[in-house]
Amino acid sequence: MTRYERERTVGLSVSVEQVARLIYSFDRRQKARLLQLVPELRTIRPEEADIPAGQEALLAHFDQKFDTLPERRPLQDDDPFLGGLTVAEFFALPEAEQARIWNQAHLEAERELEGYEQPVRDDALPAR
Amino acid sequence: MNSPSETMRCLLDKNVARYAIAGLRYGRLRLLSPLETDALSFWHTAEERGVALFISHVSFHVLQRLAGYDEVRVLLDSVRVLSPTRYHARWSRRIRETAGLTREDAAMIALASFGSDQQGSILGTHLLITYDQPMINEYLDLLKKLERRLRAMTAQLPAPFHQATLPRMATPDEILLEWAD
Repeated sequence: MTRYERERTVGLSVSVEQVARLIYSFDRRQKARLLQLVPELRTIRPEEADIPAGQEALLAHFDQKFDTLPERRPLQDDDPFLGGLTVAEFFALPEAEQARIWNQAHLEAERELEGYEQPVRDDALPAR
Repeated sequence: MNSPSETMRCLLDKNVARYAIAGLRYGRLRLLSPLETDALSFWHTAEERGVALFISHVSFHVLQRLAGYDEVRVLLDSVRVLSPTRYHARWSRRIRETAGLTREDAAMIALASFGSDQQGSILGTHLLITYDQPMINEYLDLLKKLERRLRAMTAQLPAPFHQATLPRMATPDEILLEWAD
């Protein structure tokens, strides 16, 4: 999927994806206000939005990776994930809460790894 | 194919990994969010372009616990791990003195300058990819000051550390747009 395929314009030069990006940055109060201003949004079911061909094509690339795994074990809703939550519970949380739990897991890991130093060769390639 | 010295190296922030995993989990069930789509598109396009992708040793530690799941496994199989080397802690402190960044943000930026792979064969990455726009803004504001401080610090250091550089910091969609040109 190219970026341009994703950017079907919805009016003037603004795409759905650009609007979505903006809405994503809203806090809950702003999102609630948006629902007041566009009440039709409340009536729309997620399955009404077809999965675009571009998204399918993007996922097909990753299917090839899944195919190389010796055994398949995809994430299931009731699998344990992070923060004592299942997969379904974690991904149902608001974005800020998911980020907080993800961040907390990283902070704990950072404490466990504190002081670790990777030896490096004298001729290591710099990022130039 | 690029020679090893020409391969672009890119460090992925922890949230890029999170959005990629969410995208793989839910991509066939619903419309992906722009951030999930960007994370997967960036990963895919970077691979097509021969860009070497890295995650921090901290992200690796977190993801390793979830490595039994396919969505996490394919991510771990697609990236290398960047770990701090000598001088990482010192540079991280200098970044915090220079900028009002959090300890964690400073450590991530320092990792892109003073991080190496498991073989110790590289030093740093060219790109640091993040969705944290405030961090990018702060970094860009202080870039010249950071460059001066890094030059002053690395001038005293032995090989290979005297060649450490600052990464370019950007969002996935910013780099995707450039690559599309």
